Amino acid sequence: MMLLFRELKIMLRSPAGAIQSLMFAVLVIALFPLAITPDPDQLEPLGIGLIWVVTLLSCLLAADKSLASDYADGSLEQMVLSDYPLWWVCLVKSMAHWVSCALPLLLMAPILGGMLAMPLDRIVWLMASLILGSPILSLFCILGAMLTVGLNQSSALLPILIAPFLVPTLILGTQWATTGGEAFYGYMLAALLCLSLVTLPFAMAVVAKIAVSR
Amino acid sequence: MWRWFHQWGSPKFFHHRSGALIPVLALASGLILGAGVFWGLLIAPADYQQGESVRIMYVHVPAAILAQSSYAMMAVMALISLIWRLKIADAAVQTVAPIGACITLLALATGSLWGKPMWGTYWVWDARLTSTLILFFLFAGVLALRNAAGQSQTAGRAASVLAVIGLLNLPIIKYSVDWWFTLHQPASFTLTDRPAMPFSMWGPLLMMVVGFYAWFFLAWLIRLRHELVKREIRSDWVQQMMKQ
Repeated sequence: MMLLFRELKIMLRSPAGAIQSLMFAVLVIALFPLAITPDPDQLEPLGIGLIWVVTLLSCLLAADKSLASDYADGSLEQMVLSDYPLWWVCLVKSMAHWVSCALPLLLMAPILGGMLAMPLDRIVWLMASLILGSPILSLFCILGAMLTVGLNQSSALLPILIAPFLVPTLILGTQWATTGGEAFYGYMLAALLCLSLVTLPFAMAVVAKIAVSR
Repeated sequence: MWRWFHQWGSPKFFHHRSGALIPVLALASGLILGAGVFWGLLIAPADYQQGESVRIMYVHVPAAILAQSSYAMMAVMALISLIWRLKIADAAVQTVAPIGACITLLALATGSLWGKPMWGTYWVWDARLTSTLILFFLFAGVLALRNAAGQSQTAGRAASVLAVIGLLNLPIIKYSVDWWFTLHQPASFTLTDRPAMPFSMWGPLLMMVVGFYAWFFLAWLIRLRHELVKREIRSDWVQQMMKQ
């Protein structure tokens, strides 16, 4: 629990990360009408998919940076060696990532949806799908960040590694929102969330041990 | 009995004993592939619907089958290397990843070439093609991580973890792509049931599949032996071998 407060305190002290994710999302969403068409009838069907993809990209970018400072000053190693169960540490890091990256986007979803001319009921379903789906994105992104932490290479490595795993969440989330809440996709998304919550922290623990032994 | 398995885990034993397999595999794959190519590309009948272009199937289908099973084999090797910490399993993962990636590319490319005469387009976002594309990205991920993380043991373990996570996610990805496609199936493109293939067609196909597998194991074995020699370059048995 103290770990969670530490993570949140770090985030609150430098909200730059969260603000950057937000600005990135808003900018990319703004690029699409500029690139395609300002016609609302053409933008509106694309809206759910575009906002989901932008959320996915923001999560990937934020995850890259999130573990770097912890690795650099050795606190990641301390967490691995500490008495805290390692799966809990990883889960807390994912929660922190979700709060700092996905939650602001979730709260901004009405504005992003408005930029793409989406009606309110579709925005509501979009937010519902993001509520269920974005934690899964965060879990996978932090898993990927632990796989690549400390490697000096381009920041495109993390997306290359993790993007295939994000495809089911993307498909289920967008389907659920587009069909206006058809129960099948909702249940499947919730099932995926439960599965990820239960299994990924342990996978992340394995990877964290590998990461600090570099 | 376990000792028999255990012996194969030693690089020296593996290298010496597997040498005998290479000419066998080379001969088998050469003969079977050669016969399959001759039978499939020249003798087998043309399809009544697709004409001569159905012959791409004799390359595309074995490549697609091999793409999926090579990922499974890579992930199993990765699991073995993680659980039992066998260096040879780690070398096996490292050597099979490029082969698998290239075979997946081959499947994608031949499928795309087949698509043009069959569907009129080089690419269509249907379930199987998209799944194969994602499979290629999974291979690329393992390759990229291996490349970026270097040659150390931890790098191998990270890449192995990625391969295993990929295998566990593979059913989820496959099912979600299937659901996605059944919803978005465009009206003009319907998946019709293929009529049963006569022996004159599935005969060469089977032969090509077997030949592809033989070639795959040959290529993997050659690469694995080479990688083992590279890794154990300072050990006695390699030095002795070099002097001969």
